Amino acid sequence: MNPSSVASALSHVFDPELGIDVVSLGLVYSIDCVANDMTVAMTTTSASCPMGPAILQDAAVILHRAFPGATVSVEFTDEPAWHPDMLSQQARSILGLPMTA
Amino acid sequence: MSARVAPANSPPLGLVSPFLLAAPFGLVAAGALLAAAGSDTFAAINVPHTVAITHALVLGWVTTLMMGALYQLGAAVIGGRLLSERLARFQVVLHIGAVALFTWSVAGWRTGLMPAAGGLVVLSFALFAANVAHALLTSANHSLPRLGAGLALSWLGIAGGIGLTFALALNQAWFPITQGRLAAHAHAGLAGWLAMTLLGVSYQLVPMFNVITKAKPFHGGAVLAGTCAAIALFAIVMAFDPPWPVRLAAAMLLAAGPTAWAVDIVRLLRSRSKRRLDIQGRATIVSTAFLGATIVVGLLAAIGEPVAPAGEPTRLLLAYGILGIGGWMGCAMVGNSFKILPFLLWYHRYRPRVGTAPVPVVGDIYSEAVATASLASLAGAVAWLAVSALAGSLTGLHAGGMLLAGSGLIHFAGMAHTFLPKTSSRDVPSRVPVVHS
Repeated sequence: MNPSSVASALSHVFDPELGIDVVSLGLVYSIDCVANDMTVAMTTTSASCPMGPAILQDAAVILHRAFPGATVSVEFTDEPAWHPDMLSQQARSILGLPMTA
Repeated sequence: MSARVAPANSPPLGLVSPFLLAAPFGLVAAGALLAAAGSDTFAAINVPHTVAITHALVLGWVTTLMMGALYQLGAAVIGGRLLSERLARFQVVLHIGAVALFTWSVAGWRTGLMPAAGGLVVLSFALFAANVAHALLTSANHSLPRLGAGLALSWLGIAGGIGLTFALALNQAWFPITQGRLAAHAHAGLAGWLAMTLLGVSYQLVPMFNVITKAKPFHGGAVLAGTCAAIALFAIVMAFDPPWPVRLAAAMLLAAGPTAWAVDIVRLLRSRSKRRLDIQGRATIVSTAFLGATIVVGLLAAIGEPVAPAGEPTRLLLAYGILGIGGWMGCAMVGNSFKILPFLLWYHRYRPRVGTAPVPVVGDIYSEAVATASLASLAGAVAWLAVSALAGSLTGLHAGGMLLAGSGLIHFAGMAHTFLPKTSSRDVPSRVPVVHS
């Protein structure tokens, strides 16, 4: 279990409204893995997003399934607030935003 | 100022979906009535057939959609709890039956039946208001949607109260339906109930659905408070049947809030990160454009005869009503309905399978093609009808009525289609790989 494998699992969690995974959206701020414990800090695209809490719960469910023996903690943070600059190039393409350098 | 949301409070699919599935038939009924409109349509705005069409549109179509939306938004977006889901399930049956009965009684000007049918409609309003008010009052969020919905519920009561008074006084004539009182009733319903709801919730829904983080609304609270005050002033002034300069001044005051709201919405949409508009974004733009046309024609209607085509102010009033109800409100509600129902379906039907199987996203649940056809057919029918009304063409109104009914059927097809089983359009593994530490 390492941040890379956790991020890989989280790439299966989708924002159901936008149809883009949370990693590509830049919603995953940090992944800490210590021994058998993992702590993920995530945000939402908007404080008023009705999908936000559901997405966080889905992330926890998927991490529990992907890492059956691990202690999983998925925490919400809005520091810093999400910004479109956090989008991956793939996500920008899906949303129709111009690519960044 | 936006709300922190509580999707776990989402009401059951079976509570909200009947409203959204039934509402298009209000549009079909209005279209069918319009297709059979008589030559007296241009004589006055308050001939029975026109009043029946108006109530089929406002109560049968837009209000039914709005009620379903508020049951969902009040709980899931504003964050409160409904008083009773069972009450809501009863209310939808009562509402559909009462509106159908009332519209039928008005169309035939069955004065003996109208007070009872109107009373049932107002009872439906009261049950709805009690349920949603509980959700608003139990929410800790101080948001614009909550403020807008709260003010709108008050106006729903006022509009229903005036309407019921009209119906009760029909036989005794102690509260005659003058043009001014009719305008007060109509604007309490259209501007107070429908527009206040739309203004309030759109300040949250438009940024949310279009991924808007950079811009903030300039006018939010001022729009809601100012519009509410302007509606009250307009209704009071109009009740005295004033001369046209006073009507125009009151109408300009009434238009100020929605105009500031439209400026906010355009600013917000211009800064969106979701550049590819979906049905909600396109409907917002179309609806806002119709608001512009509504305001222009509405101001002309306030002046009345001096600027009316062929000196017939009824033409302006008809066009104003069509643009405001069908164009501004209707297009916005059609766009949002393709978000509300798919979201509920995703939440209740597909979300439990997340992580174990590929699940569709909201965009997979509704058909973008049918949604676009629904919006385009409605916008086309409204534009056609408005032009026909201004031109005084009864043949045009008949054709437009059929277009409107067709649009209602397409909207129903779009809503019903969301219930068909869907698969994910994304290329994802069926199961998350398991990593053993």
